[in-house]
This record gives sequence, C-alpha cells and structure tokens, in this order.
Amino acid sequence: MIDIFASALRLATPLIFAAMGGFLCERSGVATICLEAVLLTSAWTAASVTYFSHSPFLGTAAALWVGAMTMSIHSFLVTKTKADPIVSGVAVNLLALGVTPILTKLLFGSPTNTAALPLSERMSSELLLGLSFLLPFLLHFMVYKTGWGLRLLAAGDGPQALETSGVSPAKVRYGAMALGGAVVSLGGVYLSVAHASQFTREMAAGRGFIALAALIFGKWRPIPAFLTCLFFGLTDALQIHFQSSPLLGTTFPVQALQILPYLITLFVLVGFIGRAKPPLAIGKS
Amino acid sequence: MHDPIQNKITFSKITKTFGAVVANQEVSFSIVKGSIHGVVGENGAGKSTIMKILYGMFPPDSGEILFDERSITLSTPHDAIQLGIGMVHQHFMLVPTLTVWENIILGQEPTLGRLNKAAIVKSLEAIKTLYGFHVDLNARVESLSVGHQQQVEILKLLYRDASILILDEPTAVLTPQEVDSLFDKLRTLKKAGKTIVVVTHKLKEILKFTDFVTVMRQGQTIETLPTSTLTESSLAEKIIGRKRIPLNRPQVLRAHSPILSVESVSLTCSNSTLLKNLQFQVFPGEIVGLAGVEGHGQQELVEILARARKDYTGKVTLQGKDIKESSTYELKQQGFSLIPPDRYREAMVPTFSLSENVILGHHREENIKSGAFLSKEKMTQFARELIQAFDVRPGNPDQEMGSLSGGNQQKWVVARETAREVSFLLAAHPTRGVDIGAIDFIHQHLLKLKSQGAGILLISSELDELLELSDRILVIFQGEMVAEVEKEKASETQLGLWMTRGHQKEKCP
Amino acid sequence: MNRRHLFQVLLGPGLAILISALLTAGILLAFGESPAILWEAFTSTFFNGFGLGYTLFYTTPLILTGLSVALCFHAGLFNIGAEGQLHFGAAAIIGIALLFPHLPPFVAIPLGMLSSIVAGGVWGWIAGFLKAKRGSHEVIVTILLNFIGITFVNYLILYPFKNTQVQNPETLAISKSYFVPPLSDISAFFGSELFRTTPVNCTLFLSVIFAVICHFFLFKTVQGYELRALGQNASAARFNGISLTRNTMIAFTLAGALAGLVGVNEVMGFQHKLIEGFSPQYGFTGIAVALMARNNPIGIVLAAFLFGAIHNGAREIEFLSERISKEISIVMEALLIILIAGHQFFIAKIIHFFKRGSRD
Repeated sequence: MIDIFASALRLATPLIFAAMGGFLCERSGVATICLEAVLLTSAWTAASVTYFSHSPFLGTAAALWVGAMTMSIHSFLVTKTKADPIVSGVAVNLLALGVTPILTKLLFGSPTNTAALPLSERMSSELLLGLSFLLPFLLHFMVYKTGWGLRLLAAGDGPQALETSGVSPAKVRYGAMALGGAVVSLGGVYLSVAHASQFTREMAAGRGFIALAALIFGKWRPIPAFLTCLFFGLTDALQIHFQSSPLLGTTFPVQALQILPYLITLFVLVGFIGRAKPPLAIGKS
Repeated sequence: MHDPIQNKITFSKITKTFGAVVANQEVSFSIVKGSIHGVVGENGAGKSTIMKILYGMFPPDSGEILFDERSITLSTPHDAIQLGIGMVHQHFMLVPTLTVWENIILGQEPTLGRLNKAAIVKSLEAIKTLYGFHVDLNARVESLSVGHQQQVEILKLLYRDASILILDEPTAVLTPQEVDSLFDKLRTLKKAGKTIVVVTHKLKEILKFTDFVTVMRQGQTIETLPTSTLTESSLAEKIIGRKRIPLNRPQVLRAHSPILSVESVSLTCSNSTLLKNLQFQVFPGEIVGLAGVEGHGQQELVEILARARKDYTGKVTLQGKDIKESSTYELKQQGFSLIPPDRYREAMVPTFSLSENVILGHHREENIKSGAFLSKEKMTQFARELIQAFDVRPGNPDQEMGSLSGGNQQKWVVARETAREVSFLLAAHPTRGVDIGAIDFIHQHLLKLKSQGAGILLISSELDELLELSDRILVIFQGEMVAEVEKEKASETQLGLWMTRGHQKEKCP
Repeated sequence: MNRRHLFQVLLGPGLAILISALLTAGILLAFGESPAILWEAFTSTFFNGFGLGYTLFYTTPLILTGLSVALCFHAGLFNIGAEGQLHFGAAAIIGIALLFPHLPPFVAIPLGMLSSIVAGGVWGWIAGFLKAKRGSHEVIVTILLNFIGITFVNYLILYPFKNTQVQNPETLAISKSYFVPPLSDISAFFGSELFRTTPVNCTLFLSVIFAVICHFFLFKTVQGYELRALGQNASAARFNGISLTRNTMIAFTLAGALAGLVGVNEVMGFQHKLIEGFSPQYGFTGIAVALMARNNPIGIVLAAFLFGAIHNGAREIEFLSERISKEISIVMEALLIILIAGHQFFIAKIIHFFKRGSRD
C-alpha cells in the first residue's frame, strides 16, 4: 500500500512541473498545448548534456534553458507572427517529436535512446520531488500577490487594458512563457535523469496533455491543479500495480485506468462537476 | 489665445492612413492647457484617430505634435503616460476579472515583491475624496455599472497624475443625469489645473460644457473656435457641411389588432433578473421607440424576438401566433425583419460577398436555390436589383461586404431585411456608426415602411432619433418597462429621468 | 479566379515549401550529409512506380484527415480529434468483419466502409455534441477524446480482437471478401507492372471523390452555406436562423466520418488487420494539410500528396543516410506548419529584406 503511494508521488512529480509551467503560460493568455514538446526537449537535453559533461547540474541548467527556448518558439509564433496558438502548439509538438530522435541518432547511434547514465550522475529525485511540492505555493504567491502577477493576469484577462496602461502584453507573455517553459523543463529533467537514467523516444508519453488536463481540472489555479496532479499520479500508480499483480484472479485491463484522468477531466469540462473557465484571452480564440 | 504657442498642445499637419483609407489629412489645431476642449464631427470624421495618435497608439504618417514649444514623438501609450497624457477609451479598457484597485494601479505597480494593498488603497481613497468619486475599490470590475466603470477609468488617469485627459465619446452609454454628474467632475478637474479633451458627436454637450471646439469633417479639421461663439444650428452646419432636410412623418391610422404582442416576458440568468414582466404591443403602421441606457435588457429582448434565445418565461406572439412555435425561417416568411444592434458582428458575414450576404436568413427560400444547391445566378440577379434600389456602392455583387463603408454595409442590411414584404421590423440602433447621408436614407426608409403598414420597434440610444421617428416611446430600466408616453408628450429630460428611475430610488429611499 | 489572385494564393505555400526544403538541406549539411540525398529521396518518391505507389498510399489517409480538419475549420471549429476518429473507424471495420466473415464482397466492402464512416462519425459527433450542448472548448475536448479513443481501441486490439497466435499487438485478420483491391491489380489487368508490391489501393479514388463532394457541399449547397456562415460569423448566423448546435454537430459528425474512412485504406486496403500504433500521426498531419491548402478541398488533394511524399521521402532518407532517421519528415512538417501559420509575418520579412538589399 505504501509502495503505491510512494510510486504515486514519483509519477505525479513530472505532471506537477508541467502543470505549473502550463499555468504560467495559459494565465498570460496564450493557449499552450505544447507542454509535451517542452518535456521532450528538456528530457533529451538533460540526459545528453549530463552524459557528456558528467554533471547532472549542468545537464539540468541546459535543460532549463532549452525548455525555455522551446516554449519561446511558441510564444514567438503566437505573439509575433500572429499564428493561431493551437496550430503553433501542434507545430511545436511535432518539432520536438521529430528533433529529439534525430539528435539521439546523431549523437548516440540509435534513434530510440541515449546512453545510460551511471547512478552517481543522476539527479536527486527527492530534491525535485520536494521542489514540486513547494512550487505551487510559490507560484500562487507570485501570481496573486505581486505586481508582476497582476500584469500576468491582466495579459490573460484583458490584454488591451494592459496595453493602454503602458505595458506591452507581448513582453509580459514572452517573460511568463519562458519562465513557464523552464518550469515544465524540471519535469523533463525528472523524467530522464532522476526517475530514469536515459532519454527514450517519446518519453513524455502524453504527460504534457495529462498536465494540461490537470490544469483545466484545477480551473487554471495552481493549488487545485497541483492536487489534481497528485490524484492523476495515484491512478497511474494503481494502473502499474494492476499490470503486474492480477486482481481477483483475472488480468485487469489497464486501459481502464489509463483512460481515467482524461475521462474525469472531460466530465469537468462538460460541466458535470462544476464548470471550468479559461483565461478570457484564450476563450476568445 | 494670446500667447501663440505657449501652454498649448499643437497638432501640426498630421496625416494618417490605414491602407487606402485616409483617416486624418493634415490635421492642425491647438488645445489650450487648462481648458475643456471639444472635438466634434460625424462618425468616421477622424476624431478618435487623432486622439489615439496623441495617446501613442498609432504613429502618424507625417506631421508633428508640439508640446508647449517642443516637438514630441509618441510611439507607445507608455510614452504618452510619461508626458502626463491619459485616455478614457470609448470601449473601456479594464480587466473584468480584477478588482477596482488592481485595475487602477495596473502598469504603475512595482513589479518586484509583494503588493502593499493597504498603502495603495489609502492613497486611492485620498484621490477619490479630493475629486468626489464614489466607487468601491474592492469590487470586481465585471460587477460594476457602466457609469462606475467610467469612474474607474478616470481614477486610473488621476492615479497616474495625468495632466491631460482625453475622453472618447464618454457620454455614449450614460443617461442625461449621469452626463451632468460626469461634467461636474470634469469641471472640478479643470479647476485643479487639468486639461480635458472630449471627443463626441453630441452637440448639446459640446455647447454646454466646453470652452473651445474643434470641428472635424472627413478626416480634416474645419475650424477651431471658442464655444461661446456657436449655436446648435451653426455648429451642426459646420459638422455636416450642409443643412439637413427635415423628415416628413406620415400619419397612419392605428389598426385594431397588434402585429407584435409581448406578454409578461421575464428572463433570469444565473440568479440575476435580466427582463422583468415585459408587456407591450406594436400595431401595424406605427413606430414604437424603446428608450433606455444600454445594457438594461435591450440586447436580451432583441435576442428573444430574433429567436436567438428561448430560455424566457411568458409569451411573444407575431400576428397572434407564439414565435416559439415557428422557426426563424417561418417567421421571416411571415414578414418578420430584424436589423440587429451590432452590424459588424450580428448582421453580416464580412468575408462573404454582397450576394452571399443578401441571402443570409433567406438561404432556404425556393427562389434562391435549386434542390439542395444554391443558385449563383439567382443570387447575383437578386443582389443586382437591390444594389440599384438602395444605391449601395461599390455595386459589385461579388465584392466582399467587409470592404464597404459602414454606411453602405448598413444600407445593405436594411435592403436585405426589407426587400420582401415587411409586417414587423425590429430595428436596433439602425444608424449607429453610419454617416449622415445614410442616416437620412435609413430614416426615410423606416418611415416609408410605416406608411406601407409595417409595425416597427425602434431601439436606440439616441433620444433625438427616438423623438424624431416614434409614435410612442417606451422606457426600459433594469429589464423592466417603467414608462410609456405618446411622442407629443415626451421630453428629453423626462425620458432621461425615467431611464435612471432606479438611481433616483436608491438615493432617496 | 484570375492569374494575379492565383499567384497570391500560391505564393505562401510555394515559399513555405522552398524555405522548408532549404532548411532541411541545411540540417542535412549540418549533420555532415550531402543535401543531394534530399533530391535523391524525393525523385524516388515521384518518378518510379514503387516510390509513387507508397507516396500515394500515404496520400490517401492525409486527404481524408485533411478534409476532416478543413470541414470543421470552415464551420469555425478546430478538429484535433481526427486521430481518435480514425482509430474508431479502423476498429469498427475489424469488429464488423469478424462478426460477419462470410459475406460476399459486394456486400462486405460497402458494409466495411459504412461501419468506418459510422464509427468515426459517432466519435466526431460526441465532440460536436459536447461543444454545442455543453459549451466545452472543442480543442481540449478532442485532445481528451483522442486519448480515450486510442486507449480504447488499443484495448480492443489487445483483448477482444487479439490474434493470440502472434506476439505482436495486432488483431485477427479480416476475411478476403472485405479486401479493397490494390491499384497494382488494376494495372496488372492492363498488363502493366505499375505499383507492384505497393500498398496503394482503390481507397485513393474514394478519397479524391470525397474531396470533390466536399467542395460541392461547402460552396454550392445550402447546408454548406450555413456551415461557412457559422464559421465566418457565428453571431450573424445565429440572428439569421442558422442553428449553432445543429451545425456544430453536423460539422463534427461529417469530420469524424471522413477521418473514420482512413480505416478503409489501412485495414481493408493494406494490412487486413489492425496493428497497435498503425497511424503515424495522420490526424495531426491532416491539420498541416488543411492549413497548407487553406481548407480548399481540391487543394487538400495536392497538399496531401506533398505530405505523403515527405513522409515517404523521409523513409528513403533513412535508408540512404547513416546519420538521419525518418523523423526528419516530422521536422519538415513542423517547419511547413510554422511557415504557413505565420506566413504574413515571414513574407513581410522577406519583402523587407529584399527592399533593404536593393536600396543599399
């Protein structure tokens, strides 16, 4: 039983980072369906840089930078080239999906995975796990109690008002989304150099979308989204548990549990469990 | 007026084009500091554009702005704010989900560290009492009335210590009483040394409240002169550039049975009452005006009549038949026509051609289609006929409707809605954002329909328009019908009072 | 359409193709490969029967998903759910084929097609229903429905329909009467060897026919007019008796049905069974196809061919190169989407660049 809860926490950690990063991006008024892309690029960077530099901290730093840059491609496309945020999100997702295996093949010979790291070069899971528990409260303070947060919320709910107040919403968005990308990257770091010891192709496995679902389920607020991530982590842990141990003598179709986070979020979205309302600038598009 | 350039903001030969449209052409005039300066002109005369240039929102193509004697460059609102310029836009620029105090400090707040709410609120309270504002600083902006939202906008400028306040059509959404109270505040501000620029198309306000007036027409400045030298008719002539022809109102005998009957219609939406027990009738051959401050249930009434919403209680009948029992298409077949309040959003598809737009709502009629297919020939033929009858320009049926001027777009909407036999017409703000020429055309067309026996419900925020056209005027306030008056007995002041009846009640219980 | 107008329409996509090809060549150079293999790969996808056969095989599903996305776009809706819808369509064919294995071909083939249309349509309708009746944002709903649908189909593949004789996650095979004939059969009938051993099949014709139908539907029928009016201005449509609910559901149902037909190409035309993970993101590539073609159904046929060629060419590149893997096609797709989605910005930049160049 304790095993399941411990595994739930481990599985929730990358979701929390992705959801918190997504919170910053979406609150700034840009629909962000490319959390998956940031998880992939940052996980790849963390694994590769750590492998070549033998320093997980250098790997993490590089991953944060690459994650922020990946998200900045999205914010550039949306704010500068006026691309549709959904189209841009799809493009950035595809880009990450394509670039990571190509680079893996170039550097490590096979497109499927990077070389394994020795245990001594891995990032501390506990450190990241602890950070993921602090982050939601830190973000809550930053967004709802500071002047920077006020601008962020205004960029999301009334960009024209912000603009006529002499502050460029585009600049606020660039900043918030680069920071958001860096936060999501911590999830990628966790996946490839803390939880595992290498990057494997399509490693994010839809976690970016589950995090987005958690964000919606939490009605675009950091602490409820955080709690939702914990819950989704638990369903994932149960799924893995049932995969290995048969329930009541029969093999349990794990797909039922895999579907659960999506199904629950769908119910929320549809309004059966209270209506979720996106930031106004997103709702319009 | 004595010292030529000192203590003045001077526009010198400002030109601004948007694509092929010349919004401002060599605009030149000066604003004396410490005065209330009116800028008047018709819709599309370029008033808002020149003010947005002053606020740094559009860079001018050529020309310059002089501040005292210095030439200044304004490329963003931030530059304008630095110079002490502030602007209240026609459509308020507020973040609905934030509180009043958060909206006021937006853009001026320290970005690092925790916001010190107590200190901010204290300084705001001081400004409030100094200039006589009444608004709850902790309320969310989305819960405020339009009048209060405007106060927030002005407070925003005062918090920034703006010395030049630009107000773009500040009275469009206010009642006569609220207008008086607004101008009282502006006078107080003037006494405190502020410069106030008011952009409006309402002549009475200009004459009553301003010190100087600049008249604009077709993107150019016609004249700037002291208000005291003007009368309403001389100002109107300067604005239009010609005299207006008075309308000829036909008298039609009232029929016995109403064409439209609204019976105890109420509408509530998430615990707030939007419409309360509405009860009125429209008879063939009469124009019934509906007066009221915007946002008091007119939009909801339009949506109910247009069958765009059905969650109301009570009954609406057209020619004795409940409109819930017919489809929108069947209603149109019975001669129900509608000019929606917001032309660009609700009446047309800008990217469709004129001929595609003219069948909107009639696209299932047999004379348009052959089988399940639309007949391009029939559509074009129909469009050609209407282009001629309504003198719409440019008259190419394949042209995108979005590329026409506001006046021609509105004519096209009126053409579509009245091309078939009309028994009832709901005309909501039929002349909004339309030039004088088109206004006269539309007014005459409405009167023609009336003389042909159509019943018309006219919704407008312009009391002048209602008094000019209506036979009867109804007044709506907070979703409730509070008064009904024959045209002959109606006065602007009395209507204004009725439109704010609730406010009066609140003040003296 | 006059010549100038045609030029303007083709300028964006043309430049996008050119730039993304140059960028890809740049990537190849940076990886120490000769950019010539890009040329080699693409000529082989067009200019021989074998390569062309595979390109056309990939073109077929992309026409269908492209149409699916475009149809919704015209109604102002974003269908990200084609991936889930096509999974449902494919699974339905397996279900029907396993249930009625002994039907004659002239019944079996239409029945198989119909089942994929219905299953895809139902899955699409759910998204439309939730959007129309509950006001949920269709992008998030279709993303969620993708995961739910694909996971459910994977369950079907792994449990009820599983071929227990093999290790691979795949279903039992369908009976011969459900097979859609490959084009190689037709060319063989005329004594040609064209398309021999390639999977391209008659579903290609079906998808082109559907593109033509979509064109007529959207631009010539009353129903199509309603969808377009809704997409261009929803509130004007509402004031003129065009039902938002009804048309949203129609658009999503038709979109789902089109995507569902991908199953015909995959199951009845090629594999004759369903394999887990059979779709290389056809649904998402459909977004790129629709975007490239500016939602014009006839343009979609051309754009789908281009993306089919990219997909096929990338496999060729992987074969020709030691260093590059086939995911280069996904990168090219992403670059194309980015260039087209922001084409106004990029074209303005290019014009600016040349103007400045000519002035110096």
